[in-house]
Amino acid sequence: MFKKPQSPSEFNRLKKKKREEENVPNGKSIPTSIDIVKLKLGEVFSECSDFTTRECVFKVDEIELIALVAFIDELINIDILDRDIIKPLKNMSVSKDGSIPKAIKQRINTSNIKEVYDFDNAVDDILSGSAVIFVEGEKAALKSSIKNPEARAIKEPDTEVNIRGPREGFIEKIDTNILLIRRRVRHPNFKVETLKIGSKTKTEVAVCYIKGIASEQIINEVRTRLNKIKTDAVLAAGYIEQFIDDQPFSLFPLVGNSEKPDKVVANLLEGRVGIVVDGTPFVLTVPYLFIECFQTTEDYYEKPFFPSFLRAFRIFNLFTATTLPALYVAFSAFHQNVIPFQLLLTMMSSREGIPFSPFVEAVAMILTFELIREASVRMPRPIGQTIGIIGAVVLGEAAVAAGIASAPLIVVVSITALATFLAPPLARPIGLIRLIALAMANIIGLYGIGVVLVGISIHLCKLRSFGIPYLYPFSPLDLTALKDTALRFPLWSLTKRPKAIIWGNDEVEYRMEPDMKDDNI
Amino acid sequence: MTMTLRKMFLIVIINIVLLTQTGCWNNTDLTRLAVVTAIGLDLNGDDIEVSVQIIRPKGVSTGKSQGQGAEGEKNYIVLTNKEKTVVEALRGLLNSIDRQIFYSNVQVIIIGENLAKKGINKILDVFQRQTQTRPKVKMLIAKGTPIIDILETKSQFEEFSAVSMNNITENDNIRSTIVETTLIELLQNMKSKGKEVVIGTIFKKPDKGITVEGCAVFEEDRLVGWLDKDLTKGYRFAKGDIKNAALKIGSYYKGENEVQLEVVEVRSNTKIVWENQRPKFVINIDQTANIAEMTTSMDLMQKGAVEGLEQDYSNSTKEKIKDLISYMRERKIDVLGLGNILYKFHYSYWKRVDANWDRELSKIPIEVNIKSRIKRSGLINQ
Repeated sequence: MFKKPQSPSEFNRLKKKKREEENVPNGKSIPTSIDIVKLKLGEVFSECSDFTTRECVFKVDEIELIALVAFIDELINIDILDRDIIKPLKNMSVSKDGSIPKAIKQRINTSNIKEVYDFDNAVDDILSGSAVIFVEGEKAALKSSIKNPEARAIKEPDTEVNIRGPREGFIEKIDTNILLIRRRVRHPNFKVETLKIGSKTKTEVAVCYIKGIASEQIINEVRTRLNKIKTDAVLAAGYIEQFIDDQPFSLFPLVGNSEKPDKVVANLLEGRVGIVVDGTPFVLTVPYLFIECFQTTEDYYEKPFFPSFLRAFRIFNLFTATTLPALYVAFSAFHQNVIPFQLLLTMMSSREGIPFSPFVEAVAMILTFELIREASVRMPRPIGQTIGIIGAVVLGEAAVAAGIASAPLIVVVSITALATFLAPPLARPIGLIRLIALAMANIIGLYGIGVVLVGISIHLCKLRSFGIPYLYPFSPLDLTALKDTALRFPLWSLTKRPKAIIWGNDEVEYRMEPDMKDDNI
Repeated sequence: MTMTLRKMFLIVIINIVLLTQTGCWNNTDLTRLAVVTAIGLDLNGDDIEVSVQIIRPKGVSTGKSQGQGAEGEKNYIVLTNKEKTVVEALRGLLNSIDRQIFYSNVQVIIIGENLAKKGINKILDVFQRQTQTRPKVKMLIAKGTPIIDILETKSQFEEFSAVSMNNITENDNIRSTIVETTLIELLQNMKSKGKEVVIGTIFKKPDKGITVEGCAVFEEDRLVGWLDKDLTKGYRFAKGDIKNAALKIGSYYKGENEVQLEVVEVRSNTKIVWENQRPKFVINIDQTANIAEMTTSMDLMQKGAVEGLEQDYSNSTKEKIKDLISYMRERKIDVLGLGNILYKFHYSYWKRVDANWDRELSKIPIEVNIKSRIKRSGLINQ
């Protein structure tokens, strides 16, 4: 079923072929005359006030030749341009024999200088932060990427806070993000393939994986899906996520994302493929499993006992978050006879005088909670806190005091709201399922909740992420991979990688070589 | 595609049909319920009089909102209604309350003395058929007190007297002066031949409020006699049905001193021994106790002291059971359910004596053998 990974020699041949293809000008070769180049660039960049050209004169055997340096002002580092390109170029004098571009290459101070043969490629390079040097009478231009390093500093991520782990988070710059990953995997098998997506934005997207661990099958699938994307704009990783999703109509996330390099690296080492998108501080990882919603990096950074408890607790709270309001409604409207007497008394006396049915009350309180949450997210930060206070007072005190909502329901809704955030990736699907369960509970009681839960289980069993069953390792059952699910076994006992993800790469099944393990003991 | 569409359509249709057919649409808000905590049944003339204690949620104090209900407002009401049948009477209550009556939390069912004397089979039928009241509801007989008075009494600790009646009845496992009979036990016992039916009694003492003590003895379904708390204790000893009880015994060498025991385990076993074609009941009791209190500074380290106490222990138990047996013989009531043993193991003999079992009972000898042990003497001085 699986194609064997290509042998290195074949891979190199393909790579060479690809490179040749790139260099063959497809009817849009670079004009030899600088004036025509200038004219064409002027056409392409008309009304672009930030586009700049600079002419330099240098000597070839005492004959003066013109070189044109084209770049976009703020995109490049002007100091480096002046110091390392313009200055050497002006002072240069070369002999006529031999290739002039080669001679320039040797004399210019920047290290990443390359030839371009295609005019459109040259334009793309200018747009992505290179200075391109056109030389009178030459078919080849030279480009040097001297991007302006201006970017946000690396900060602690806001979304995934941890106590003992690394504090670095991704930023909006793709180079930095790849660097952050590369720094943690110092192995040549860490591969990065870049491509551009979006006919207008030309957003840089990098596919990274660890060769030999990641399944070829999945890497190819990622490549094909990315290449199939036909859109003019990719503004954030979320765009890519929606285009490569297996089941666009499923409520559940089928592509993972993380703001933390250590988490992405851990995923790569289990055989997943990372997709870094320029302009987004989140790196996507595929395939994504359901159990990942409950895993945090923090789980692995301390002794396994408390993290194991937390894992189980998070999974338990998935049910709390989905069904607690529904259970409250089902019990208070249908199954009063199973409520213990004292609790029934409390519930009854709190419901006395409330004008709404438990269902209306629950929906109203849940919507109020969503309202406060959304408002405090959208508001500017300083006002956001005020909203929180208003919310707490309105929800907690005033609603009860005014006799609009009953106190036990407030408790139920608050617990539900908190439980939702124990598994942040599931917060959105849960928010919707909760309302469905609530409605069903109001129609047919516990039976309705059962129907909803069974339906969702069936749906989850059906889901695939890049061909991998979403519920793996529960279904299909994989006992060794179960060690890292509801309980987190000690690190030294997690000897094997999840089999479904590295499918086809059986030789890398072990994370720890058996003798390595013996040494530890 | 069309196949899947048709399938989807079918699934939707089936679900809609299912939803309409399940018939569990009974969405009732809590504010529409009248929760009954106690049911009382008695005779009023020829009619059955039903009294119920119903919660008034507004008056119930919960947590912080204590005192929110107007001061002095009662948190329950007692309603009565009399009709020819129980169901009619219960339904009739709906004439005067605007809520659905909810029986799942009934704590006690109290039967009036008059009704009990006439026979309770008739009224228990309802509780066998309906499923709302729980099978473990405590049954009590009101002794000499009108049921309404009992239901109206305010409890000292609990908000509802019904809850406190239930709890007092449950206390019985540490005092053993009452018999705890649940609805299901009562129904089972009434169905089995020759088995005694014993139900705890409740009454109101003028100075003490509600008291649950002693028990009522039934024959078939009619109330025939009362056991006071001592006889009840004897009954419990004979049945080996004591988890914990206090027992006072005289000390073995000085009559005026008293020793209080805490009975912790009693096992009993009633057998039939045949002597000259005549049956004899043998009650074997194996009992254990701890010393709880002594009014004398008796030296327990002395040789034979503990054995002496054990002897006293046996004697006082035996005395209690003897009292019960003489009560049985005198009133011709088979309180211990000895007939049931005959019915089970010697059916042919039972068939002969069944008709005049009352007379036969006083003729059959009953032997009581007791083995006592004192486990913890609580040596506090040594």
